[in-house]
Parts: sequence; structure tokens; C-alpha cells
Amino acid sequence: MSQLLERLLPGFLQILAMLLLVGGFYLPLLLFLGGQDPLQPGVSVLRLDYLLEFLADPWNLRVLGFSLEQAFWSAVLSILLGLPGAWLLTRYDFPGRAALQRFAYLPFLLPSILVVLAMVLFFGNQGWVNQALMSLFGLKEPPVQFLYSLNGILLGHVFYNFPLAMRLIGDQWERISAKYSLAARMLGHSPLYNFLLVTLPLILPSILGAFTLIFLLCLNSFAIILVLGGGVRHTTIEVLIYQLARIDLDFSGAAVLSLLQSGLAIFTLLLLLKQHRKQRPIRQQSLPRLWLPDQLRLRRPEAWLGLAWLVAALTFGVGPLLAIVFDSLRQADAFTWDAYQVLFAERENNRFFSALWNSFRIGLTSALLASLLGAGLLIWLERVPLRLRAGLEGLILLPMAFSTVVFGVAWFHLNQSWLAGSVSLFWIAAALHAILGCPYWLRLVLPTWRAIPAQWHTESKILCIPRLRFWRIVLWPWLRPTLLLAFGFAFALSLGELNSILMIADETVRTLPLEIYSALSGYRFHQASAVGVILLAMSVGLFLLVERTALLRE
Amino acid sequence: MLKQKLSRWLAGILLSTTLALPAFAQDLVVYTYDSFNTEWGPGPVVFKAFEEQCSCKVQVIAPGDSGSLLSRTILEKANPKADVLLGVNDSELAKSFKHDLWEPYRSPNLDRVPEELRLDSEYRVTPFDYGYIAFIYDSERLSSPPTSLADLSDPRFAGKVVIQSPKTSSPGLSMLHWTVAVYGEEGYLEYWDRLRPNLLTITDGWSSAYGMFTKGEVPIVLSYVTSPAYHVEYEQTERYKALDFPEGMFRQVEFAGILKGAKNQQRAREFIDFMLTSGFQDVIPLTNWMYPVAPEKALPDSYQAAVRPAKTLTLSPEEIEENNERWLRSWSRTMAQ
Repeated sequence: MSQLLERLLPGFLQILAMLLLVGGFYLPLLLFLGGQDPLQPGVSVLRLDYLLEFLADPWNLRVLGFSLEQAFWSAVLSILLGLPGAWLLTRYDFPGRAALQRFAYLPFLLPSILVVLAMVLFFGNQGWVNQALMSLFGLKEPPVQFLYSLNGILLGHVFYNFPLAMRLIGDQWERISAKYSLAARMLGHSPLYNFLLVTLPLILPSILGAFTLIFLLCLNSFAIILVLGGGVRHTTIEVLIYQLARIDLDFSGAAVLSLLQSGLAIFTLLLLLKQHRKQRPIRQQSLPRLWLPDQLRLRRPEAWLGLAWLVAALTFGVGPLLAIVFDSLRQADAFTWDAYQVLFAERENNRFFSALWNSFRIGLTSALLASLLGAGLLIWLERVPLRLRAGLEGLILLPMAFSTVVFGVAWFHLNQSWLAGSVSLFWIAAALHAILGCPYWLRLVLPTWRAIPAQWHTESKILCIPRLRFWRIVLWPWLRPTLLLAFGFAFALSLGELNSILMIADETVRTLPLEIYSALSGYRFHQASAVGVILLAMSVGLFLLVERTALLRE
Repeated sequence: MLKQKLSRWLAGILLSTTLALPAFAQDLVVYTYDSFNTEWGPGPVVFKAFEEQCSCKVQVIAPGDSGSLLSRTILEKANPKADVLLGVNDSELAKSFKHDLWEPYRSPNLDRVPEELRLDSEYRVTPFDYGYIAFIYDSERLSSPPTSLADLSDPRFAGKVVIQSPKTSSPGLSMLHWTVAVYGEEGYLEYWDRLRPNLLTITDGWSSAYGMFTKGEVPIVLSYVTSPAYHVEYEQTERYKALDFPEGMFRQVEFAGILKGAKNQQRAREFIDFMLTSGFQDVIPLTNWMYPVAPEKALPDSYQAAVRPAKTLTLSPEEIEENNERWLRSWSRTMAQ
């Protein structure tokens, strides 16, 4: 029985993943792109002349350039800020370390509109930071304009993404063998030399992985670019696509632009990804972690630097989230639970509870689906010949790079003509979220997967350990932290996702982000913050629960 | 004995199916924008009132904002799921006409609506509410507010104003049209060029802009003349005030109509009739924060905080359809400098 299972399971997962990816993403997209413009019968969606005309306009080229540029810098800065964090997590133990490591995905839970308002509350001209500086130095005018320029865009994106970079890089750093750094030290090399020539090449795959994720995320960013960037001074392609698809109803133009955008993005990334497949760290037995408070008492300069980073990163990463909590408790300059009381009050039209339930079940189902899908794709990737692997990785990344607005239209089109009414909306929502989440899942898990020492497989074969048992006692403990993080991440993405839910829009899939939008559009700003806080709390609770059950199984 | 039992069973089954039927059958399907059908919006009240009146079942589908609502309806034009589309504004009208979405119907109740709001002479769509976009200011943070649209571009308001992008938001688009109506084709870009330094930022939608305003980031925001009424009604404060500009205020009208190929034409007509009666109209002021087109009751007291514009400005739907793309394109390029 178990032999049959272990032989069939990988194949089954792989086929499931292929079906979901092709049926859920590529089929609707190809049907839409290959067909006629639904609004102009007889005109095909993909028009080369449109593309050429677009590219001939220097203004458009500038927009295109800026889209890539801001995504590039956002990714670079997130990694630069995340790197010291990864080092801190690898080197030191300190109170709250586990929480810092676990909740790196929290910013992704909040719909971007709430993050924008949080950034304004915290970094705005009248925000917390400026208020503090003004009262500290007795100034009348806000001293620093953080937002409303390219800086604002970068600040917003780094807030979202640096914890992710920290987590991804830290995961790999921990697995670097101590003997490399010990050897370097014995040879008399300086710590800097050690980092640049020993550590850096070994963690490069995870740095590139983090870069890929963050780059794509920022490329599709929308509200942050508009609001925190100071309006149209900084326009990106995604804004143009949104305008074409939503306002001008020019689906053909929007489709052409999103192909252009995602094509460019994938091309850039494949160039980068090409290098990291050659790397494989071999053994992992890292140095024992030092207790940070002791090191501080010993006046170690690097420990104090670490502490400085910790304080800065916590202020930056937690500050805007705290601003939301604070905002949900404030009304007309007084503290009150009102916003929460309204949410939990029993009344006829209370939709909060159903939204809570919908968010929970869609999030959980899609995170499980994304894990299965991701595992299937992982198996597929491993089975594909090496020369085809880059292409396949590109195909897997495309759902992430492709504009969700256009994907939404394509999907709606398919639903219209083929599916209508035959599949329940709940499963459609869960599947869509899984498809959107699985590229992230894969990016998170791949570096850990590829870092599995090759001799483990050999050793287990020599010792005649059955494969399932090998999985359970060797691979699962190794992969568990990463798998849990990836699960939490997929869950968070689903909880915060809005576009595809808006497209389906039905009471049965009405989720919390929609509830936040509704509250905002009805002037209930504090209530929107309260829903956001509940979203955060819910995810923290669920994630702890999942982790606890996984630990109990051990 | 057995026979009797069996027939009782049968009767029971029959009865339960007939009872269950009305609950399952949809007698009317309405598409509307999301915020119309939220807990605090007019949806829950007005659809329930209509269900009671017609003793039928209404299914409401609310996919996103009014822009995505229209695009969805156009996409499924060949096989419409909805009978009524509620919530198309005047700047989107021409687009809906171009795609031939509507089944004309003139409600007998249309006579209650002021002549100037009946914008469609072919009765494809029927107005249900209207409003004016306006700049709202925070009187606790700004002692001398702008006195006119021209004054708004004065350097003393540098970085003090937030508006929405005309490319992504409906009040934002109306603001662009407003400047075209005031300054004409020759002057509107020049005006925007002057206004630009005063805009702290341009947001994607109304919510981000108004949120920045109520959280104290800017003292002036683009919204609606009726916004102050909300703060009077629910927060008992007159702190936020709407500005009536002498150049004239730009009007937005919202419409509903019956879709071509709708399955429940008769019910749809009844709904359009109902839309112009008290059960719908008098709910609008405190839920949708717009003026009803045919109110039967007096407006709520809080509406005294909403200014009644001295002069109204509009552009015709045809003019908008013809020029909109060009206006937007020139606008983006002026603003991106």
C-alpha cells in the first residue's frame, strides 16, 4: 500500500499541478488573447500595430523604463535592508526572534489601500514620525517629506518586502556550514573577506530568489505607486493597463501592454536566474547562535550594530501596522472600542461574520491547494531536463508577472462562455488564489529544496530506508519551517487578495478586504482599520495553530 | 393505511416544494456597484422594500466600482444575466449607448423628475440621484479657504490639496471635465499646470483621498457637496465644509436602465417605477450621500451642511465620449512634467 502510494503520489501531484496551471491560467489567457476583442467583433485582441504605435511614443517608453526601474530599486533596497536581518537571525538568539522570523509575511495581508493609509499615518507630513521630530526639535513645519515622490514609492515597497527578503535569505544562511567560515578565519581572512568571498556566493541563490519575488510584486503594484509617488509624476505600465481595461474598456490595448510588461519582466529575471542553478551548498552545520543580550553586555560592536538594525527595522516594519491599530481605536480624538463593537454587534445586515468566514475558508483552502500545486510543480521542475528548466520556471512565474486586471478579464470571458454556473464560486476563488500564490510558494521552497545535501539520498539508499520514512524523518524536519512559511504566505496572499474576488463578486465569496473597501467607501475609516486589525490577528492566530499542530506531530 | 400515509407524504413533498420555490426563483436580477450594496449603502433597504412591494425575490450582484460594473455588463451583452443595471453615471453614458445595452422604457413616474435631469431623450436610462463634486476643507486647519476654482491654484495652497486621478476614479474624471467646462479646450491644461504644485498627491480612488483628508494629511480634498452632511449626521461636527465656487459646480447624475435581452422585463419595469418613489428616493440622502431626483420627504437636517450650488456646469455625454481619450492623454502629459 505505502509502496504504491510513494510511487503514485509524485506523479499524481505533478499532473494535478499541470492541470491547475494550464486550465486555470494558460487556457483562459490563450483563449482570450487568441480570440477576438469581445467589444469589437472581427478585431483580434493581439494587434501588432498597436504595440508598434505604443513603442514609437517616447513618453510610453519613459513609462516603461520607470516601471522596471522602480521595481528594480525596490527589490535592491529591500534586500539591502533585509540582509542585516538575515545575518542577525543566523548569528544571534534574542527574545522575540521566533516572532520576527515567523511574521515576515504580515504586511501582505492588508489590502494596499490600507497600507497606503497606514504609511500616510506614520510617514506622512502630519504623520507620527514628523510629529515626533517636530515636538522634539520645536519645529512648526514637518521637517522631512518622506512620501509623495520616488522615495515614497520605495518606502512603501520596502515596507512590504524587506521582511520577506530577510526571511528568504536567513533561511539559506542558517544552512551554511560553519567549517567554511572557520577555515576562512584560520587562514587569517577578515570578516569582510569572509562575507564577500565565502558567505555571499553561498547565499546568492536566495538573494536572487528574493529579488525575483520582490521585483515582480513591485512591477504590478498600483495604489502605492499612485498615492505615495505623488500622483501622475510617476506613472507605470500597470496604471496604464488599469486605465485601458477599466476606464477606456480597451481590452486589446490592455492585453498587449500586459504581455509586453510581463515579457520584459520574465526576460530580466531569467537572465538573473540562469546563474543560480549552478550553486549547491553541501553541508550544513552552522555555528551555534549567540545570545544577543550577553554579547551586548560584552560590548561587542557587531552586536550593538545588530541591535541598532533591530530597532530601526522594527520601527519601520511595525510602525505603520501600529498606526492602523491605533487608528481603529480612535474616533474624534478620543479612544473607543466603537469600531469593533459595531463589527461584532448583532443586527440584520451584519456582513462582517460571513466575510470573516469566507476569508477564512477561501484562505485555508487556497493555501492548501497552493501547497499541493507548488509540490507538483517542484516535482515537475526536477523531472524536466536541465536545459528546459529555465523555460519552465518562466512559465511558472508568468501568473505572477501578468497584470491581474487583464487576467481577470480573460478569466471572466472563459467563465462566461464555458463554465458559467457549473462550478461553485467558492472553488473558483480558492483555485484562482492558489494559482496566484503558488509561484511565491515555489520561490520560497526552491532554495531550501535545492539545498538538500545530495549524500542524504545516497545514505538513505545505502541504509535501505523506505522513501516515505526517509521523507518523514529526514526531509520533513528539514523542509518544515520553509513549508510552513510558504503556507502562511499563500494564506496571507489569499486573505489580502481583492482583484479576482471583485471580478467574481458574489455574496458567497465576499471577503474581508471587500468589507474594508465597503467601509471606506461609506466614510467608515476607523471601521476599515478595525477590519484590517482583525485580518492581521486572524492570520497570526491561524499560523500559530498550524505551526503548533506540525510540532505536535513530530 | 399505507395508502393514507403515502398520500400524506406526497402532499407534504408537494407542499414543501411549492413553498420552497419562491425562495429559489429569482424574479429580478440587479447589477449595481459595490458601495451601493454595502451594509451602510442604500441596497439592503431599497431592495428589501421592493421585494415586499412586488412579493418577489431580487438577486443583487455588486461587482466592484461603476467602471468594472459597466465593463462586465458590456462583456456579457450577448447573454445578459441581469435585468437592471443600476449605477451608470453621465460620463459613462455615451459608452453604454455605443454598445447598445438598453431596452428603452419611460416610467410614468419620470414626470416627478426635474426636466434638467432627464438627460436621455430616448428613455434608455432613468436618473435616480445626482450630486456635485466639490472641494471640502477642514475649518480647524484652514482659516481662509480658496474662494474659487481659480483661487485654488494660488501658491498659498501649495501641497495642501489631494484629488483623485481622472484615469481611475469617477470624481477625478469629473474634476477634469469641470476644468474643461470652466476654462474650455484652450485653457484647461494651463489651469492644471498652475494647480499642479498645490496637489500633494493624486490618489487612485475616492477612499484614499478622503482618508488622507480625515487623517489630517491635507486640509483640502476633492469630494462631493454632500460630504459634510455625513459628518454632521454621524459625528455631530461641522468641522468639514464644502466650497461653492462662483465658476459653477460640476454635476454628476446616476442612472439605471433595463438591459436588452433581460429575462424579466415586466419586473424590471416595476423596479424602475419603484425607483422613483419614496421607498427608494427618500433612502438615498443618508445612505448614498447624493441628492434624490424625486424626493417625497424633506431632506434630512444634516443636509443643511451640504451647499446648494448657485450655478451648475455640465458637459454632454456625446462631447465626453468624443474627447475623453484626448483630454486624458493631454492631462497625463501635462501632469507628468
